[in-house]
Amino acid sequence: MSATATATPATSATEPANGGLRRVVRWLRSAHPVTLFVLSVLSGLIVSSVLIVVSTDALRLAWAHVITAPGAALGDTFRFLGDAYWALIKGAVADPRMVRRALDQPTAAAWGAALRPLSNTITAAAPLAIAGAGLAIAFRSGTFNMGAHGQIVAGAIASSWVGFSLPGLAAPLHIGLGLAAGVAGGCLAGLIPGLLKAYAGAHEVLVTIMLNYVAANFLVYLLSATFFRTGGADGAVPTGRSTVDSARLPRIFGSSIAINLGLVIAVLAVAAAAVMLNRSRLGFELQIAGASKGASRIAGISQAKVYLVALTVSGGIIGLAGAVQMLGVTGQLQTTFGGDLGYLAILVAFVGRSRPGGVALAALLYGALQSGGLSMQFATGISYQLTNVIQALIVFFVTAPALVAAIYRLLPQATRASDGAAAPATGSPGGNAGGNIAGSANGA
Amino acid sequence: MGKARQASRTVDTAGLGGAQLKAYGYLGLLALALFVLAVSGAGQTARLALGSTDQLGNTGRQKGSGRQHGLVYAAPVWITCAISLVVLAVASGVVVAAGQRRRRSLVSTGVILGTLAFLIGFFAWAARGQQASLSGILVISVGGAIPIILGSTAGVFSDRSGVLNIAIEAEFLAGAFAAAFLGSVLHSAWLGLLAGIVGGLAVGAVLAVVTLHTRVDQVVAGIVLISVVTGITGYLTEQVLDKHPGTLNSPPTLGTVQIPVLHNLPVVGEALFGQNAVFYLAVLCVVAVEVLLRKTPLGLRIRAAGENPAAAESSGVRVRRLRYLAVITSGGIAGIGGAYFAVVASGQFVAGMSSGLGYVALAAVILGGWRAAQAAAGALLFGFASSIATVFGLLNVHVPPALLLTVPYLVTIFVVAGVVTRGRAPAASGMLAD
Repeated sequence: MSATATATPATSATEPANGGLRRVVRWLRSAHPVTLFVLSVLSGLIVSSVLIVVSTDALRLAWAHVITAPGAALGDTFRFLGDAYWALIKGAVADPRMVRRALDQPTAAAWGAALRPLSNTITAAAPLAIAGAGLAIAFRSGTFNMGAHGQIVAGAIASSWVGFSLPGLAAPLHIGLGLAAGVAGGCLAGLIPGLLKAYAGAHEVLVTIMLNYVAANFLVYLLSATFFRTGGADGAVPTGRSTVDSARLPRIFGSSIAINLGLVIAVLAVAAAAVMLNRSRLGFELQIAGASKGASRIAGISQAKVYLVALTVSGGIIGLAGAVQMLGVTGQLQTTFGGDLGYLAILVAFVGRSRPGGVALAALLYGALQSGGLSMQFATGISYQLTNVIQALIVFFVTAPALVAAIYRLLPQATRASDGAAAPATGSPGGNAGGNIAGSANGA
Repeated sequence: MGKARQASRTVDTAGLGGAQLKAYGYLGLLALALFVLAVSGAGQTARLALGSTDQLGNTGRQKGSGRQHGLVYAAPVWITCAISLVVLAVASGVVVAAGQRRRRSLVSTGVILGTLAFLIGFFAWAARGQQASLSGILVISVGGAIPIILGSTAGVFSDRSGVLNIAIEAEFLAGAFAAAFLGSVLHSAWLGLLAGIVGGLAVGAVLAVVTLHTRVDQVVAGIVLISVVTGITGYLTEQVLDKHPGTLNSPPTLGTVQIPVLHNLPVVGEALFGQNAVFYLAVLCVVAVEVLLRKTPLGLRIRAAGENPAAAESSGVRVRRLRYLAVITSGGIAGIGGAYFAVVASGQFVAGMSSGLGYVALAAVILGGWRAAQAAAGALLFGFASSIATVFGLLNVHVPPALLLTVPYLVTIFVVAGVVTRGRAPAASGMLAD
């Protein structure tokens, strides 16, 4: 990224100047991060389109007769895919018809309805952005925190406890306490793998993933056998007690638009993560440790401290995401609380290349896919699960820039030698081993 | 030269000393726990059925539907615990021997032996005042361990070549999906199994290309691949399989194969010689990988690629090609484990059905010190841990089921943290391939 800028002049110096247009084409065809990202999304959509065609009976039938009626097969496919992706966009941003209606009769309710898709997107994106920012801190420090789900659940359990057990508090105080409890819960869930990594050398990937399962089952235990459960029939799926109104996150653009305080919290969390990483001594140390263990050892940075701080801080921020989801969206714990959130946050952090700003944009994209997927299912009957496929494929291509560059025959100029795409790597194997992760593989 | 060797040996024994200390601490804790159990169950007698039974436990009181072998071992709880303590002592002896012979793998062996001894004593305590079927418990544990054994074997094979295979979970899911789908379409469990292998191979091939050709970090590649396979199988299940569950998602299942005389052995007979075909296949895989890695020139080259790729390359080993071979084969082995879920355990594909056992298999690799046989033995312990909820539900233990379900994951953390023992990972494993 920043390295691209330094690489480009060097290469263009060796090229003869061939006029502006040519240079623009070159730039477009080069493996620029933005180009790579757009092509990754495109590739993800292409592969999922193939999946749609394969898995939709009507289209499969049309393609079975492709020899006799190729136009029908192609036409049906494009119409169907067009409808599907249009429904996705309508469900993620806004339906033009609803916007026009709202413009004709500008009432709060009409605007609420017109902006519902957008507010769904933002509501889905806010916890993703917070958790992604937390993960970015861990990834940039060279620790693979895969425990976002467990940390979200831990944060939500703590904030739910505060949310239902302290009635009668003033709203700002109650919300503040609830969010702080979420941070504390997440910190605790991050501290465990941090301690195990720092002092026992346990691989954090395995420990955090195992803690996800532990947290999920512990949540079921809490909801089925302790004071967290609401009184209900024994056969019913257990649910947690409802959060008191004073702890619920309020809507910030009036009561008809369903965007809550979570958006503000997300912006602040992302900004805080960025400041911490890029402007603080601690963040600097973490990044050195993430970039090169050897350099950080020579610089006198304690590796144990890096593991502890990285996992605890990222756990705390991810716990905040759980609190936002808890106090802003669900209002009570369920056995499936968190759902895909933790897992999506990891993908978001990969796609955002472990940079808080990038993570925020990736969270918007993934939130849009989340809310658009539902409307696509209503409109075309394509399973909501397809959004998972698109999200996973995008991250697959984003994390393999060399693959995308090879598929689209991008010119290698703008990539760095260390990317592997540009220079046939002849260096020592494992020279940049260890803390190499999605983000730091490509810059800084 | 001599000095260097001596130096490396002192370093090695120093490391072993730490591992030994940990093992002693662990075995000591187990002994203490056994002692407590013996005291708390002092006045009571446990009846442990050793013969084969259809039902878990309670052979005597069942209506008599199950085949019953008369072998019932009835003894006061404290006596069983005492015997377990003796075995624990033997296990510590093995750890001592590990120090003398400087063999890390013996530490693992001692720890696993000690854990098994502890479990026997624990069962005697849990079954106090009633009867439990040891062979029944073993059948469930070994059954639960089969995919973990295959996953850990796959992990050992790939790791030894220098590519960390985090994507075992993805290979499980792809194998299970392919086995369920093609097994149903082709009406054959065996073809389903074959399809499972192909599914695993396919994921292994993608992992190999992504890590070896486009040089994505191995952990990132594994995690991303898991999400891709989870997404695609989940989507296809909901969109295709669930719409025609009768014809597309109900593969025939493999029955058990009883090995003539051996399956009548007390205690272990049913569990080890009356299992389904995939279990025997898994044992075959373990033996094959163990022999291949340790006894053949190819195995030596693979290990060299995993330990010091530069040196291997310069002595004429084609590291990258070997790694491709190892990663893809490893995918196939894990694919068998995936097929197990579909054509043996449940007779259908359910989205996300491997529920993290792919990661548990990685922990078995670590517990087994990157050796196929030891990893398989470790996998047996995990198999027991993951069937613990079923087993305890039938015994005298009152713990909320949701908490029991956390046991395999907690055991994994325990193991990964090296609280017990840890071998040494292949030196180049996890690094970017050249």
